[in-house]
Amino acid sequence: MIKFFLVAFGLPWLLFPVMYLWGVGLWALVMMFTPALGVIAQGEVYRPELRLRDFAAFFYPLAWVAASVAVTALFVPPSGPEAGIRYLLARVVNVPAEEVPRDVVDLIITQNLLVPLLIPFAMLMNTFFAFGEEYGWRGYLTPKLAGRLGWVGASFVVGALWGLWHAPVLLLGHNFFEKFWWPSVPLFMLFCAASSPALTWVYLRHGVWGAAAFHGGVNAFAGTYFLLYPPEPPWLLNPAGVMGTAGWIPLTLYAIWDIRRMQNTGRINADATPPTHHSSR
Amino acid sequence: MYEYWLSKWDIIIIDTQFLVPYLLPLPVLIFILIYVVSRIYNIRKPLTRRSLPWLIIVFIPILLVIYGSHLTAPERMGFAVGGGRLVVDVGWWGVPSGKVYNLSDCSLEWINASTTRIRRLGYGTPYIQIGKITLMPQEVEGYGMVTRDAEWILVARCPDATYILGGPGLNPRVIHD
Repeated sequence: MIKFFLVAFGLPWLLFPVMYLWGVGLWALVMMFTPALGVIAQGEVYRPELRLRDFAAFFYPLAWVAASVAVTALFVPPSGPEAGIRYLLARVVNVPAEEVPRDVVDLIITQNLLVPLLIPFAMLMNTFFAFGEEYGWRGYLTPKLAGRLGWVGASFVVGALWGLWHAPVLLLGHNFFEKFWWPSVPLFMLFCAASSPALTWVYLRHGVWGAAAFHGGVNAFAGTYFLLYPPEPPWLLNPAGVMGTAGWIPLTLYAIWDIRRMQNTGRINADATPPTHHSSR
Repeated sequence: MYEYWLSKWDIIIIDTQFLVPYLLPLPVLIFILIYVVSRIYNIRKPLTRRSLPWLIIVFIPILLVIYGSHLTAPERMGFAVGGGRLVVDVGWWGVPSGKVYNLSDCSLEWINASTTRIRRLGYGTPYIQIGKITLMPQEVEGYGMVTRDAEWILVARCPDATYILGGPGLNPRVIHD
């Protein structure tokens, strides 16, 4: 596994100075393929089966968004789309939130209402880029560790590693909006660890492409949280923050229960034999 | 008289020069994508004539995302100052088009670009800022366009609007030309 870790974790840090100088932008998409490159470097390439029905997992994260919103609503009343859009737009154009004109906010709200029309495109693009990660995290590393730790234990460990892997972009302000804000790394490790059992469950049910669709769905739908809550403070009211992490609890509990059930009924092997969705080469 | 006019194609070309470092990951990304998929699915020659349409299908949406806003720009935009007149003809991001003022009706202030920083709400790339512009720390606010190579920025407080304008070679002497 050493080559896998060297490539998967090393390449993002090689990209770090480039992203620092020129902005994260498309380099983040390049970074998403480093876990897959790690598997190739390790020489343990496998061929996941591509089945259209597994793309249904793209929509499962809507349950996570709903849970995150519901958990947040226990503490803070929703403020409607204007405040969140105003906050995010102000960050993008570097002006105080109150200076963002009302007509621009209204335009973006209208655009958001049209977003469902883009779902097929978003599904394809997000799934494809997330595949670069899932090929490494769920398709390679999780089964490797599951032999020693069991599927649930491996999920949490891979989740924490997966969160740590994001450190180069987190330190450049991704998800938490502050550059070189170190708590973003442990916060995101918690988030990824909390979500990882759900991803493992999807992997066991739908294979690597299913996990990629699910991961793509998380990336695609996370922003809808901001339509109800502006990310202030970003560590708390943020789909990648404490509330988003709490939103994973129901799904994670269900995933753990179902993974154990599948193990007990012999539908997956406790010794972490990869599921039948892919063939090794 | 000083005049500065840009077409949308000028903006696309100039911005592309500045965007090269940001566009650089695109071929890297496509190369990695092709490499990973061909290794995983055992495709021996991933780049053939048959794969070209697929590459184009991937490229077009990406280019549309990058250049989509450029395509909404008017064919020609800019401003002219001197000869007793100020002409503002932009028509993008809230900056009016077809405005002509007598300079005597506007109060003019010149700010050296090195003494200010621009906060912009509108279209912005490293080369040009167009839209609602605020100059800090002067806290002057108005609509207009300012290019990166402008040495002087003209703040024109006209009867119905304040304009903030800057272009290559613009300087306080031009109003006497």
